Amino acid sequence: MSRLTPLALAVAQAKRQGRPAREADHAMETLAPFIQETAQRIHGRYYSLRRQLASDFVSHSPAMVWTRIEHFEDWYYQELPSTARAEEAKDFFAAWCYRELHFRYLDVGRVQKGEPKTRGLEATADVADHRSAVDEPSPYDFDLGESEWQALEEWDALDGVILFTLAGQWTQVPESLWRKWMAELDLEPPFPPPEFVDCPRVKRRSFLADALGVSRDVIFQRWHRLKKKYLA
Amino acid sequence: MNNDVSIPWHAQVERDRAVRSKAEKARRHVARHARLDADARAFVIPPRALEEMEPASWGFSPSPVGMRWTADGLFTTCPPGKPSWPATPGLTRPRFHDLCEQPETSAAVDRGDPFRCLPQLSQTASDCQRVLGLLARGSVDAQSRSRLALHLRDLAANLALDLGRCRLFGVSPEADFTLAPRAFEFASTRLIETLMRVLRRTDRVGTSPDAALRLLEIRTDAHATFLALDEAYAAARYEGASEAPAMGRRLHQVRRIINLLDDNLRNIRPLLSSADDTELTENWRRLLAPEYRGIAPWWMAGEIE
Repeated sequence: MSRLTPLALAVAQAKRQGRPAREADHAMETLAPFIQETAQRIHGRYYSLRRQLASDFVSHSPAMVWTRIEHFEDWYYQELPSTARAEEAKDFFAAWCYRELHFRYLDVGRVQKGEPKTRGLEATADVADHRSAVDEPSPYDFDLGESEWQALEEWDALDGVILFTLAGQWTQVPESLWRKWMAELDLEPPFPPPEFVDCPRVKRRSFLADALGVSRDVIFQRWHRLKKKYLA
Repeated sequence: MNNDVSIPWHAQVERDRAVRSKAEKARRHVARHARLDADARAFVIPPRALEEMEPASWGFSPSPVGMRWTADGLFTTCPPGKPSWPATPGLTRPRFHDLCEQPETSAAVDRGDPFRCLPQLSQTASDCQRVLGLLARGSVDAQSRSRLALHLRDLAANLALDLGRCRLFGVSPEADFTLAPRAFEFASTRLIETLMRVLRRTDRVGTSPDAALRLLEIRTDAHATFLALDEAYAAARYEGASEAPAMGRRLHQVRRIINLLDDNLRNIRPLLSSADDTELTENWRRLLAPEYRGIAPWWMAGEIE
C-alpha cells in the first residue's frame, strides 16, 4: 500500500472514534505538506482565484481535509472496488484528496465569481456584522462537573493544554494536574505566559503551536475535535 | 511527406521548426483576429484581416461568411478525418484517468476542433516518433545524436503544449495519452527556461500592445503546458513511480515561476487591456473546455478588461 493511504486511514479512524491519538497528529503532520501540494496543483490547474484567496486556500487545505477525513475511510472501504484496493502500490489518498480539494476550490471560485469586482466604501454599511454582541455568552465559558474533573486525569496532556488554554479556562484545571501536564510537555511555568494572555485571540493558536512545538494544523485539528466533544 | 527518408535528418529538423513556427503564427493570428463561428465550428476571419497572408498557404479557405481557418496544408501529417498518431515510446503512456475523475457525459456536445489542436498534436507526435527512430539507429554518430537529442527536447516541450491545449480547450484525441516522466522532464525544463527569459523581459515591454498580447499568449501556453505536466505527475504519483518525487519538486518550481510571471502581468494590467481591441480573450473564453468555463483563468475572466 502507498505510504500516505495507511496514514490517512489511521487519522480517519482516530478522528471518528474521538480518541486522543498522538499518532494521528503525527500522521496528519506527515500528510499536511502533501495536502498543500495538492491544493497548489489544483490552483495551478485553474489559476482562477485571486492571489490572497489562493494562498488562503492552500494554507487552509490541511484543515479542510481534516474536517472531511472520516469520509476517506468510507470511500476507501465502501466505494473503492476491492479489486482496486488490492493494487497496493496505488496512492488512493492522493486521488481522494485531490477530489475533495478540487470541490472546495470550485466552491471558493463560485463565491469569488459572485462577488462584485469592486465595492465602494458606501456599500460597507450593507454588510452584516457577524461578530457576537458584547453581552452574548461565550461558548468558551464552561464549568466542568465533578465527574468530568476526575475524568481529566485520564486526558492526554496535549489535549488538555490545548483545550483549556485556547478556551481561556486553564485556571479551572486543578493545579496539580496542570503542573503534571506542564512537566509532560516540558513547559516552563507560568503557562500560558503573559505574552499569550496579551496577544489578540486570532494569534493565540499560532502562539500556542510555537510554545508546544507542534504545527498549527495539529492545534487546529485537536481544538476542532475537543471543542466539538466538550464545548458543543 | 514528413517522414521522407530522402531528406537528411538535419534538414528535417529545420523543416520541423519551420512548420511549427508557421502553424503557431497562423494560430496567433486566428486567436487575435478571427471570430469563432459556433455553427460552423470554425474560426472565420474577414479577408481584409489577413493582412499580407496568402490565405491558402496559411490554412484559410473561403466560406460564405468569410475566410474559414481549416489549417489545411499547415500540418504535413494530417490525414483526412480524425487524426491519430504513432506511439512514441518513452515519451508517452496511456491516458491517465484519476480514480475520482467524473466520467465525461456522452451527452456532451461535440464542439469540434476549431483551434486545430488535434492536427498539431498529431504532427508533433509524428515528429517525435521520427526522431526517436533516428536515435535508436546505431549508425548515427555522436554529434548528430547530440543534436537530435536536443531537437527531441524541443519536440517534447511542443508535445506537452499541444496536449495541454487539447485539455484546456476540451478536445479529445481519439488515441489519448499522458506524458511519460521523460517527456515531463524535457517539457518542464523548457517551460522554466522560456518563462525565465520572459520574466527578464516583462519590465521592458514598454507600451507595445503587440508585446502585451504576446505575453498573454505565452501565459496561456504556460497554462496549457502545466495541465499536461500536472497530469503526468498525477499518473506517476498515483502509480508510485520512482520519478514522482522529483516531478513534484519540478512542478513546484514551475508554479513558482508562473506566480512570478503573474505578478509581473498584474503590474502591467493597463497595457494588457489592449487585448480588448482584439478577439483574443473572448476567443479563449469561448474555446475553454466546459470544466474550465465557469472558473476561467484570471486573465481570461475579465480581470484585465
